[in-house]
Amino acid sequence: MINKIRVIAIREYLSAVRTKGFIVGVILMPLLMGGGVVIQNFTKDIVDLDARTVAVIDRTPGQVLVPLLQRAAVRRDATDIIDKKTGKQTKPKFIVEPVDLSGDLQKTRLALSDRVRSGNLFAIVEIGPNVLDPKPVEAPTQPTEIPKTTDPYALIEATSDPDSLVHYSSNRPTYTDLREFIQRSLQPRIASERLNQSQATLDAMMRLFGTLVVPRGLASIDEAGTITFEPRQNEVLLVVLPIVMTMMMLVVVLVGASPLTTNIIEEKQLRIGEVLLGSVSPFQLMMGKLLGGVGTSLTLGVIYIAGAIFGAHQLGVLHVVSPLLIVWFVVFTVVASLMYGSLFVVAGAAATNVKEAQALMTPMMLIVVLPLFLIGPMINEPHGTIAQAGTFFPLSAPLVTMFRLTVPPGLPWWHIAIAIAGSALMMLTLIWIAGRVFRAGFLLVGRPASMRELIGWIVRG
Amino acid sequence: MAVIELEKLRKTFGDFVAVDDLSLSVPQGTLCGFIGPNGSGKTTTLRMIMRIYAPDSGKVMVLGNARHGPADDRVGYLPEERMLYKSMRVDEVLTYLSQLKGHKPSHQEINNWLDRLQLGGFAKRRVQTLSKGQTQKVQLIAVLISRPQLVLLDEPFSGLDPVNAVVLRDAILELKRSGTTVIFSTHDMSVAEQMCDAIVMIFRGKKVLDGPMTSIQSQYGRDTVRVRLRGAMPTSLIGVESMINFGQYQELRLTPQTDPQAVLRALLSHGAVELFEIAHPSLQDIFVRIASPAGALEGAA
Repeated sequence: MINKIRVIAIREYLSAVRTKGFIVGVILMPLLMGGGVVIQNFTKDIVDLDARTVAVIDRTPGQVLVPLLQRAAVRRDATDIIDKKTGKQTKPKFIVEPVDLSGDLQKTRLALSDRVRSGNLFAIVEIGPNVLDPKPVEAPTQPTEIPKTTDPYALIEATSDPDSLVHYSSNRPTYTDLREFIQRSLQPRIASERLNQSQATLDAMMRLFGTLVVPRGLASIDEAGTITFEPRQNEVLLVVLPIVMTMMMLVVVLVGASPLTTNIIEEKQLRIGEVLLGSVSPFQLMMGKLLGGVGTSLTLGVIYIAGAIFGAHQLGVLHVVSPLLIVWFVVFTVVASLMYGSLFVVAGAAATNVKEAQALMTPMMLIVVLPLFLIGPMINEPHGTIAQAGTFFPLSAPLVTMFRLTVPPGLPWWHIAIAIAGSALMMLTLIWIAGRVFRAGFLLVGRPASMRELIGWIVRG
Repeated sequence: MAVIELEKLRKTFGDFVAVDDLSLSVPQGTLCGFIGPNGSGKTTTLRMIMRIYAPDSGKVMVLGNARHGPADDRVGYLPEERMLYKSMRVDEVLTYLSQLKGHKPSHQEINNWLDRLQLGGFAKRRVQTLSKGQTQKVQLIAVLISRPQLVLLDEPFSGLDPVNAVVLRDAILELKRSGTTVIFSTHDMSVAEQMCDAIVMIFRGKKVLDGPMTSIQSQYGRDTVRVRLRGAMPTSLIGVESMINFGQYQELRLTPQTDPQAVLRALLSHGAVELFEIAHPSLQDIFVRIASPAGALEGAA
């Protein structure tokens, strides 16, 4: 029995990996990925270096902030935008243009706006007259008074003296460098002035509101008896790593699993099925096809994972992925490919043509991506009730268990065992169902099987 | 020893009864023909023997095993709707299908089989470059190369030109000589008549005739006369119940008690007689007798 499954799996595997599509995929994907990096490197040097002129309406008494901005711009142009190795300019210069306030303010605003529209000016900055000494505003006390909006600045405007703000206007709102430059240049001075008004210093404020809670590794004792703290884990990576690994697993699974459906339908349409069923049982045929398909996806997976490890090594983040974690990743990718692949085998066995299969594949895809909906709750509670339920439910077990394995402190061995056993049992059940449905329905071409017929085939064979 | 034993087999598809109350036994070493018109239930019966279809009721025993299945490597099966992977080479596809029967053929073995079926030099050709007849012969080799004890062939002669039909016929007869039990279905009764030791006739899902060829024909007596007359045949003759025109000759069925010599004399009065042969009835004639409204299912009991 095993030998026949092996023979089918090898043929399916070889026929898949010898196709032009696979070879092109193997070569093209790294080329595309590598090409992306090359293009990024290449395009990062291609930037628009045209100077950006910003008109500054400084309404502060004595117009004390314009000179500050001008000095900051000169300093930036001299140092921050020059590549130290090559001496080449890498970013555009900022030119601060003070605006004469002798005329009508509204007309000045309009004239400057027209210059922005015509491309003569990049942006307008208007510094409110009270920016250094804001007048108290009656803050909303009831939540209902706070504007409900997705605009993050609406709350600031609603709770601030309008003359104490710095307004920035441009018709290129996505370019944030200039806005951030204005913020960075003005904030220390404005904050300092405002603190002076309240008899407080910036340092004092930092001490009051600075971070108190700092993560630290657990204490451990070495052979010499010295107690030290283990290194602190990178919190960003702790969130990113499970998501990245789960996604990678999902991609490998979908690459290998989804073609299984069309493969089985082609078998029906080519009328080869009966020739094969003269030699092997439907279960052997379906299992062989599944293993062949999974082998194909794992071949791609190995290539991509090797690329990912190389990339992680190049980026210097490989150390955060333990070798054991990579082993678990391979194990659960195989488990996931087999289990989810068997879903697509069932779809292929039940469908009579590609169009019908596409309709069936949508719910299958939903089942495969279902565990992704658990990622949100699992990030906060990787070993909570939802995560545990996901581990014990076969249709989500491979992805959820892999996710949990990446988050310290890992999970008990018996959780892993249940996840693997449950997935294996589910795969065998699905392949058994696929075999019965295929055997009963493989000659049914041109007419979709009704749900009643499908259930009948599963029950009676 | 019976190689196949079927007991009260029944298979329905929705409201349609494809096979009903079918029982039969095929002894070892027999060349048995499943005959009947298209849609009579021959293919469904073969599929139930192969366990591709599960019967609704009844019992199937193959090579003494009730729980056999397609995985039984002692049984070779050539389905009616047969295709091969077009992009594979002939030797690859033969190796693959043989391996599925638990046999790994050598290159020499493959080439010998190809030579026997006049396909020498085709081993490295892609299946998609073969003609229909060549493909059918490759499919037959795929069934036979693993040397099964029992071979089931569903309409093996359909679509073959006369030359390839003879090659296939010789291969089947050689199998029989080597002791292999062969069952093939056909709606062409003359083929079965020429080749088979035993016949199972199925009509509308029911077995209407079953037994050795000679005993079936004896059962219907020597009441048949084959005649070729120079000139037009009379539309009726005294003592002749029916006439079937086969083109090259006419087959006359005589009423009981009719003396064939009297018929010959009557024919001579109409013209020169080129052929006059007293024979058993042909399978076609027997089938017509059974399937005609008057004799429908006379042998089904």
